[in-house]
Amino acid sequence: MKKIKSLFSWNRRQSRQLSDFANDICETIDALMDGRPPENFRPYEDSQVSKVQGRLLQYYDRMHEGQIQSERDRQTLQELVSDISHQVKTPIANVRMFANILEQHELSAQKQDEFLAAMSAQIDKLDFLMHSLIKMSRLETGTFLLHMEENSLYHTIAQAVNGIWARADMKNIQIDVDCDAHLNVIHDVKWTAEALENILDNAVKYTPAGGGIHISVRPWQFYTRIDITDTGIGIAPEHYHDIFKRFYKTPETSSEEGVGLGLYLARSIITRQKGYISVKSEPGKGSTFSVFLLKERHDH
Amino acid sequence: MNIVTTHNLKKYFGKDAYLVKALDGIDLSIEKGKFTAITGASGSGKTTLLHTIGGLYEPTEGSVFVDGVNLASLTEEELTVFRRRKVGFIFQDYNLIPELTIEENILFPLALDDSRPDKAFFEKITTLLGLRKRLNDYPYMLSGGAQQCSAIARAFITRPSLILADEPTGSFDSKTSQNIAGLLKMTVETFHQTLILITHDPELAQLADRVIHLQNGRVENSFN
Amino acid sequence: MQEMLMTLTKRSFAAGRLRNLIAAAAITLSASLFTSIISIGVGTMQSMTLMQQIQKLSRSDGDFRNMNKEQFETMRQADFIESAGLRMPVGFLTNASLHNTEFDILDEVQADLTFCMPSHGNVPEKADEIVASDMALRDLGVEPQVGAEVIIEFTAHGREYSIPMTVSGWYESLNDQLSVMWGASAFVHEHPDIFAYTYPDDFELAGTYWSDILADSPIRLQEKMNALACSLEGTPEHENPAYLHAVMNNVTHQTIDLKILVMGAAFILLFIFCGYLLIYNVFDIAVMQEIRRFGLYRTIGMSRRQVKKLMNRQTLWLSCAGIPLGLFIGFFIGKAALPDIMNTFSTEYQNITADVSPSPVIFLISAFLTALTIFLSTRKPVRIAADTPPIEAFRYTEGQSFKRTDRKSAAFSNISRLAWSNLGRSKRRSIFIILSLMLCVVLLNCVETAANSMDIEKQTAYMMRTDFAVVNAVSTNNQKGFSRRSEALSSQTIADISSEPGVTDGSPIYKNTADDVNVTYDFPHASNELTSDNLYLYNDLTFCSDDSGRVFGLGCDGRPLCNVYGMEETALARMDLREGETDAHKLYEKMEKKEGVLVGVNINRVDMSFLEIMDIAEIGEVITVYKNGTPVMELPVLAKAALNGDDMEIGYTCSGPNKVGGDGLFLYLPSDIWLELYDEPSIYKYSFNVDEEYQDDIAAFLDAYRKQTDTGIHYLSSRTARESAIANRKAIRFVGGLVSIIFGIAGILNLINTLITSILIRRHEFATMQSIGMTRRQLAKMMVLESLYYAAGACLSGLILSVILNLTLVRSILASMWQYTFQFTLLPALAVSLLLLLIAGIVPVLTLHFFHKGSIVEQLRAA
Repeated sequence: MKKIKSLFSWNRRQSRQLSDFANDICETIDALMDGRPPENFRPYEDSQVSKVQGRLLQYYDRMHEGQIQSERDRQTLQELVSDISHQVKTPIANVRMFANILEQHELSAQKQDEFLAAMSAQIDKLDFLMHSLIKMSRLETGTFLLHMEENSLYHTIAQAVNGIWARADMKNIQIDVDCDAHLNVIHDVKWTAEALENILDNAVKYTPAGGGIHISVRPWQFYTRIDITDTGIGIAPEHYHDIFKRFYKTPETSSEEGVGLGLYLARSIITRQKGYISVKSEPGKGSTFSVFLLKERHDH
Repeated sequence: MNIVTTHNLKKYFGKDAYLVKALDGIDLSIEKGKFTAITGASGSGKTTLLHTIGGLYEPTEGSVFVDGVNLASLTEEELTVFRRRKVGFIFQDYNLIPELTIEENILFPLALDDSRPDKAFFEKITTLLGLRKRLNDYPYMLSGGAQQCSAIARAFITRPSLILADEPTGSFDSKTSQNIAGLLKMTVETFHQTLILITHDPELAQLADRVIHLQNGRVENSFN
Repeated sequence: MQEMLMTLTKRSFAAGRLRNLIAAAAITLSASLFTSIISIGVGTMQSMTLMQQIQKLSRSDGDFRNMNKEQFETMRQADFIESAGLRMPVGFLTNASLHNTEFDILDEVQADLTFCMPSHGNVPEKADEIVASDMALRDLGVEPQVGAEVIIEFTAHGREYSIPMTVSGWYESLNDQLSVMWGASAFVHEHPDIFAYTYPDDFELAGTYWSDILADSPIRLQEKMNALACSLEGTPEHENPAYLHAVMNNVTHQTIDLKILVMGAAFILLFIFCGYLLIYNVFDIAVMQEIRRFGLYRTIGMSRRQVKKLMNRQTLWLSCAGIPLGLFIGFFIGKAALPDIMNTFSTEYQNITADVSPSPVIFLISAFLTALTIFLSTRKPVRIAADTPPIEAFRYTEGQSFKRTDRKSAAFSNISRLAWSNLGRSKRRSIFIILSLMLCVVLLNCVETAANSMDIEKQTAYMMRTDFAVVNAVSTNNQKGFSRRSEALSSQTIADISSEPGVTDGSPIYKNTADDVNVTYDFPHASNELTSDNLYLYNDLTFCSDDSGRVFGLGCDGRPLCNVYGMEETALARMDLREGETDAHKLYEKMEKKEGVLVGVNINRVDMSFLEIMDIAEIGEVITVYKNGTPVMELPVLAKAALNGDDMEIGYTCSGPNKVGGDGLFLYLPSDIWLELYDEPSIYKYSFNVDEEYQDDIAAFLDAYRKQTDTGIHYLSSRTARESAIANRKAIRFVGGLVSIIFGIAGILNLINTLITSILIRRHEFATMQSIGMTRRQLAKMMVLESLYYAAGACLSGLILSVILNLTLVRSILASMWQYTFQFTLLPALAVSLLLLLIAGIVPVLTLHFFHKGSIVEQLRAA
């Protein structure tokens, strides 16, 4: 009889504990729903309640973060719009100016051609800008699809090199590629080529005539590493971080043409593929941009 | 939103003639979900800063708030639970427990908290870090890189608010070092974790969203 | 998920194999220490109890006597009695001459309880069957043999019986004087007249029922027995016809001597201390070695409780392995050492085989003590492990390296100074090491001084005045002593001995006995102080005590019997004459002419002076000798001699004189005068010298003689006297040496621990030093110096303290004990200091070898 009684009281205590636990958790949830901090929360107590509450709060934060993230995206978009309007302003003003001149002044055919050529250059720039901006906006807002497939990296690199071949040739820059033709890597061919082209374009731009660009590919344990080494003017270590920012141009390179979107785009593309880019440079001697493409496929 | 905030953080060692000001007034905010690198020469106080944030050191002066809680207000046992639930540590020399298999090592922090592991999460993180085939091996059977990956998985398994890594690539050649750093970065991004990484290597630091440079126990500059 | 913690506990346990082995060994060692000491203690107690039970001829819990049949039947039903024997006494055999044989009817339970189950043959069944001891049978003139025929004669109810019996079985007598012969219950039916119950009328024992019992528990047994006796309508009054004897066996249930209890407790505390140091050190070092691991555990979030749990569980496993093994080993060590140890401490127990049975009590107590020791000694290491700051996992990084760099550069130039500066790191431990090593030195020196100062010659001289002395075996037994004519040496024995080659100066010594009650003495002290108020009976003799507590045995006429010795001149010449006529020859001549007597006075053994209280007869006082109540001689005291043990009885025993004359007087007469006074010449001792080359032959002769020819004698030689004194010295050395060795081991263990700890903690520092050019040799030199500083400090203070203590405390303590003559010595302290210094020199080299391995880089990384 005594045994039954004690068993009963044990049972009662058990269910009491359980209901206490449930009540604590409910209180926490109520507080979170109302957006106020839970009162009964002792975050680092070695107890079950505290453990569950901690997890709940973590979940709440994660959800909350989603809101913040979309807010942030909106902001980014806004910045983008203002950036675009800012960047587009000059070429449009120029085009408008050239158009005005052509309209209002009688000019010699030679002069007219000159202005038309200048105008066309501005339109090209505008066009380039527009393309870049479109790509950028698609990357930023995540509205583009990557086609991750196992393809020959050699072909992708060749595609990228093709895009800058003419310009490099003009500056008499030697390009050599050290890549196993049979090396297949999971990547999006079109966008990866775009990223590599942007880096190469950059290299051609900042490498004096007669210099060289070396592309080497090494398969690593987790990553495939593509090194693009130039003999250009190089980058100071304190700017390693800056060069990947939108519209960033170092003071030394401001004379060169370009809008400062190439590397930004390149990094965005590679990051989207779970890879990363790093840079190592010795000012005056050249830079190496390393692109790391993840070897195995991870779907998330 | 800031996960870590420090106010006028000071940490001194020794006294009198031998007084060393490892941290000498640090005001810092570290944003949630970001990858922050702390760089600086050896002796600049970066490890001390990391340890203080991780609740291993008690500051001489100033305060550290992690996830809104002042660490100074916690007892020793609460600090232990804090480390267990909120912080994942990654060490230079992995510090895996030699007697446990890789799987056991990774799940160990959960065992300490008497929690059941989230199988899907475990699978995901071990796949990401390429550990699926090594789960039943003992640490000594793995390469240094794979061991560090296991240590990374262990740090992530509790879904902590904060991952603290102290020169996690310090004992590797540059190739493995890049590999590990890349994986770490990728893992952090995949799971939206906050990572604070100590390194003296600017090449690694550039992977971070933000770099904080310390000199003589003070923040010299910090850039995004 | 608790299994994971278990897995870790298991695997990390399995990984530290060597460490576990050492720890388990430490636990085993402590467990065996406890088990052996407790086995020895319990064994000694068991053996002593058994010996006394044999003397008492009963191993029961108690016994009832003088019951009638109904009382007996009721008694054996009592609920607290587990088994009860039956003994129906008949009486002593009247046809036995030397050996006292009691004839009883027993049942098997009773026979078993009183040590008389037959070892040969069977228990008696038929009415004419008996079981008896070998001695009783020989005394009756038959060889002990199954089937032998004997006639037994006894008296019961005033009638004499003479009945032929057949021996159905026999046993070896455990007692020289007395044994029980027993018959079967069939005998009762055959002779009902013998067993008529008439006790209340005539106190006839034949016909009463006696019973030795075993009780369920010894608690309040006497009370229960009393209550039972009352319920049987008996009374504990002796002279009452309803007297019913119901007494607990105080030999089986002895109250433990407080002194022994305190000594045992002290030893157990000492062993706990020793075990504590051993286990503590092993665990402390283990934790210290693994401190990084604990730091890691703590960093990744293991709570204190969890670390403790892990440690405690491993300790439990180690205990599970170590304790049973230790119990096992310890028991057998104790069992093996028991006889030797009992011999070392006493010569009394040589007759019985000292043994110990594997009683669960021994194991339970030992296991408990070991567990207690383990609990006490692991508490701190476990706490250290649990309290490990997580930062220990990062020891290699900044932070820690800050502190030490500066101090080092200042002191680095000088290795010895560096070693010196390391001493203070753990003050408590440094003090402990120095203290325990110092105590080791001091204690050992004190003990050795005591052992050295033990004056063997003085003791031998006190015990013996000649090379050999032959006595009746009762004289060498402290509880008996020579007191009866029947115990006198036979003239045949003396003749046999004196005819042996090499025997010189032989003198038989005559002594009066409790049977010589017709010769008494009167002297001033007796006539003045003895009154008839304080009379009592002892050994069938009336004794009288005076106001100062001196006792005197009284003769028939109420005058003192005195202890009167008769001897040849050669024997008298050996005595220590102090006052009056000190020329032995002249004295003897005077005494021969009945001109006086020599009085012996007991001495204070410390300074060998007369004991004032025993000095009750002055020179010139007249002692009147009475025989059968009439004065026959008047003897003035001519001289006084200082008595030693040999003059009174032999060795240290003087139980004989105590049973005859008591404290006075001790009178010494020439043999012929003595023979003139006493009716029967009883020689209690034959003392003689032996030429040096015959010493061994005589000893061998006597050994053989007392085995084969005259089993009643015993002898003492100056050599055996010396050996027994030396045994005492050995006992002192043994106990004192053991204690100081324990302190020494404790000190060394701590020194080792300190050095290992220091090497482990300072691994990084050492590696740094090595990396900046300190060679391994220099490092070893530094550690050796450090260790030598400890040892030197301990030894120096130990030597100084030894000198001080020796000259003060030890000297004054020894001065109060007669066996000692203080002799200053510092040699043991010097020797042990040298040994300690040597160990202190070797230990760091060994520890460095075992605990400081690997390359500098590894050391830097691992530290």
